[in-house]
Amino acid sequence: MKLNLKFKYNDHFGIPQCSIKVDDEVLYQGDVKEELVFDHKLDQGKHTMSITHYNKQNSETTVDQDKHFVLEQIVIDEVDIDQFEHCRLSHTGRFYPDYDKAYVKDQNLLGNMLPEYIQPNHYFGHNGTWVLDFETPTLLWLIKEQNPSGIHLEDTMFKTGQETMSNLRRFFDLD
Amino acid sequence: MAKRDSTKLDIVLLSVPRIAPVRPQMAMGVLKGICNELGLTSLVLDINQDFYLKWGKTNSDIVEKLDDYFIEFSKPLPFDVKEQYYEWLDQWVDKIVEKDPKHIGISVFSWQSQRFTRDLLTRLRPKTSAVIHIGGQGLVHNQNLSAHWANKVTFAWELLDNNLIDYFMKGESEDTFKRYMLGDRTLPGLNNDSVVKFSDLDTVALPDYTDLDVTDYQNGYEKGVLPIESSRGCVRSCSFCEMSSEHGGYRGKSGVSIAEEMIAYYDLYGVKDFYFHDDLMNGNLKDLNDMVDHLLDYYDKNALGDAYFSFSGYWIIRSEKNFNSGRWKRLKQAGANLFVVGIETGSDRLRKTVRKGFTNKDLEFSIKQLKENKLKFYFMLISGIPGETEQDFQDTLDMLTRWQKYVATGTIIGINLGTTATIEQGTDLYNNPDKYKVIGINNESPQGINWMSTETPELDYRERVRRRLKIQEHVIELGYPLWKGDDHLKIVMDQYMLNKDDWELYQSGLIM
Repeated sequence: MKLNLKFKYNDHFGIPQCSIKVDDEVLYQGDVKEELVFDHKLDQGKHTMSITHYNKQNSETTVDQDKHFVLEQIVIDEVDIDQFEHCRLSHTGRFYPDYDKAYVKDQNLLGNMLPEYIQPNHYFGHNGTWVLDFETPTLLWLIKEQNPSGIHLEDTMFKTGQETMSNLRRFFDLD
Repeated sequence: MAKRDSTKLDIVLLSVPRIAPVRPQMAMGVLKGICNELGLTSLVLDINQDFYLKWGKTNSDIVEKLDDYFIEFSKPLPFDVKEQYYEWLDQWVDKIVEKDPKHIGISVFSWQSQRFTRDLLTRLRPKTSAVIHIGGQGLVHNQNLSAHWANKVTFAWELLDNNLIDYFMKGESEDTFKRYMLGDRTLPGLNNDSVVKFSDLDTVALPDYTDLDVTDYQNGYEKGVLPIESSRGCVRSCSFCEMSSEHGGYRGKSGVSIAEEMIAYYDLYGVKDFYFHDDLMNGNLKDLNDMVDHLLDYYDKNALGDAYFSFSGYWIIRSEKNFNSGRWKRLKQAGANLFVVGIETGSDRLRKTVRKGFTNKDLEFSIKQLKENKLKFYFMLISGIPGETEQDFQDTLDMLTRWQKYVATGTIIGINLGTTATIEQGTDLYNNPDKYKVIGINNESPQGINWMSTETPELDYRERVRRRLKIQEHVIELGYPLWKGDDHLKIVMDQYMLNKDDWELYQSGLIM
């Protein structure tokens, strides 16, 4: 699988740090970059991509500055996964913040219960991990999830079904 | 000129199944336009649209069976739908008879309209004194040959001999129809097999669709889609196609007049989306570029913005040198939408032998341009082209695998696998079989599915069917939007059933 990730970030307090994993394998760890490209072999089936923001300190959020990065685009096997509907697939990803304990306490005092995860979310402000479930073969997954052609032929004169194929295969003894 | 009875409707024009109900049939608009020019009264009735989108909606089970009946000639009309079918037909017969026209014209769009036409006429003829004529490309008993260029329009003769019609019009009948409606009965193509070619496309009357609700078709466009034509004939000479040799040579409308026609339709009907019915819309690049420039100029002058109209249609693959990325961009700005292209095979070697006139390099450039300009691509393949080797076949499968990304980007919105390769009258394969190392079976000339290639003796009909099925399975696995898979496989079976005796005799080895 070819994976291409694009980010934007605020480096006022230094470049934010991230790690990128597919399943349990770390593909990258270090300073976030505007573009990261990977070529990673995967078995057919279900997988999880995760992006973790780490090492951000409390002091790196002020009134007018915040150390953070934003996930701008995910391209898998040369296909932008959100090309048809705005962020449709990337919005299925969930961000699990690793909240600072003092922040949680302050919020609780204000009556705010913080969610376990944020969805949709492309903004990595807190430390934490964003996860996206996907399947390989990835192109087939993208096609099934998005129906890029927008065509629905099922109940039309243009349809294709298994029965006619089976009949023909049986008739010509092609099994 | 024939004496006119001014109290009667001059002609009822019928559009009949089986046609995809996606827009009005162009022939009806053209014929009504000619009537307008002649000062004659006409009425277009779209029975096809009723079949699929009105009566068909409430009788879907019946329509599905009838739909198969229209294309499976080896099977009779299913007994369990006969009553409802005839009842519906009789309602149409009554409706037509009630109009009491002097003439009735039926457009037999293709061989798939033949069974319906015969059934309708059998019930209509005894109930009307109107003079009945038929025309269209479906006047021949052949599934892959346009009747316009056939040696003999066998289906039309059958109906004439059985007194179901008074006249047939063979060929491109704009002039024939005009003169016929003026009373002339001694005409090329009128009840004879002369070849009739309409030359000056710029002189054709503006088609008239006012009898139809152009929004009442199944195409997903709010204001509907209208057919349009820029040319006839083809500039290429593919060995399996009769167009280049038989379709009267390439003739085109000027680019400016095509653009003006779109603008006129927009003014008349509010329609902004058009489908070219030509064999190809880029046969003459000067005309195409003129059309694009004229449309862009119109958008600019009227502050309409790019791609205010959209247009789609058949296209031939050209090299980057002939049609570069700048031209693709302007085409998109002018409103280009969907391109329908015959690719036939993924093998450069095989494509060259059938004289398609382009290479995989040209193809890859074109599909990349389609993707970059967010255009749509619908393409066709042919399984078992004479001389197709296992490697050629594998090249096709590999191309489909390689192009899966274009399905994922929404560039490819359709693939049409057709039936299997046939050899038809008028094609270079038919006329010069020796050149292509093709022979018939049982000492007959190669025709239809009854052929073998001496280069690839393993490619008998069963093997062609195997490859056809394999490609279908492959594209389904890859998630391609496959069109008409059921239709085509039913025809593959039907063609075999109609030729079963020949293949059994051939396989018995009694005749080589």
